[in-house]
Amino acid sequence: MIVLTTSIIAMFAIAYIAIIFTANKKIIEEQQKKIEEIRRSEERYKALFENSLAGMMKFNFSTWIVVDTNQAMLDMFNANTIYDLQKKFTELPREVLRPIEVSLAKTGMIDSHEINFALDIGIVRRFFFSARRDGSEQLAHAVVVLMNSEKKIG
Amino acid sequence: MNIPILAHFAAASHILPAYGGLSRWKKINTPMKVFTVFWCVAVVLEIVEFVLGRLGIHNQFVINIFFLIQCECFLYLYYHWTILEPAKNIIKFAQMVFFIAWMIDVSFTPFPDEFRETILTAGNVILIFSSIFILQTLLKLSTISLLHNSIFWIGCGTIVYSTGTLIVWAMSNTMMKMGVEYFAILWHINWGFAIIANVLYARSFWCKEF
Repeated sequence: MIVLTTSIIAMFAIAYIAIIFTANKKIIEEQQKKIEEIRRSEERYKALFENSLAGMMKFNFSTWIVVDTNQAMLDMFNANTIYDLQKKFTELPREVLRPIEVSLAKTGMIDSHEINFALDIGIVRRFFFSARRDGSEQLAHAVVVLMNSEKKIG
Repeated sequence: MNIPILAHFAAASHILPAYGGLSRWKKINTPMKVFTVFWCVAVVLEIVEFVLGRLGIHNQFVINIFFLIQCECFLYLYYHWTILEPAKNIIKFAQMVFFIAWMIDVSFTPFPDEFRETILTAGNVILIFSSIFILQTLLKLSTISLLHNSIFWIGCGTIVYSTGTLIVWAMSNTMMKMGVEYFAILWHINWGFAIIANVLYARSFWCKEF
């Protein structure tokens, strides 16, 4: 009787451990699947971001520090690095940047704001600047489209 | 009466977790160091128990002391492992209640000539439930395989041993009355589970997470 009862209780205990272990295996598998999905999704968006013909950047709209950008954006502003691009933005007149800052701070977005930008190589480019604020921080994601007109100065 | 071969193995198996803890001393955290010290004490108590048994002297008081240290040590481990404040309070409460109950029990008969079935069963039940709770919490919180977590092996060892020996401990005096030979046969259950549990406890020292 003692042996039988002990066997039953012990079997329940072992079954319980087996259930816990199997459940953990399933949870880990699901977690790994999710991580893999996120990684693939990140790769897709990274490719989209880097290969886009439109200029894209993540920036702080109060300090104009550029956090991330793509190659198209650097090409549009004739910049070599993120720092270079950041410098070009901060050198723009206040009346150009001010409406962007105010709109992002108040409404959280700005749509097709026109910027005229004089490049060092003697041409002026016209851009449409759209941006959306990223959460509650002072960060925003911008999409910049180069307009067709390029005119020479003078 | 000859001591069965399994009893020798069961007694010797206490060395496994003690060795595990000592060999990994630098890599383990404080609660696991306490766990190692407990196993070193367990080895000493096991030797005392064995020698007294061989000499024909009642060794139940050693079993009682060992069981108190075991319960308190395991609950201490669980207390340090869990992050939930209510769970910590429950474990602390269980630790205190068991200690007081043990003290009351032992104060009446410090050197009993038979097993203290009630306190041993109560301790086992506390250990079973706290181990189940810890494994459930571990399952919810763990982001890696349970095999890499020391508390999983400790919890498993405790559940296997405590459930396997619950009835044997609870009925130990009844078994004794049936005759020493009969008792020894049934006591194989305890020795068998002790060996399994000690192997699992020893394994807990070779984990990534403590």
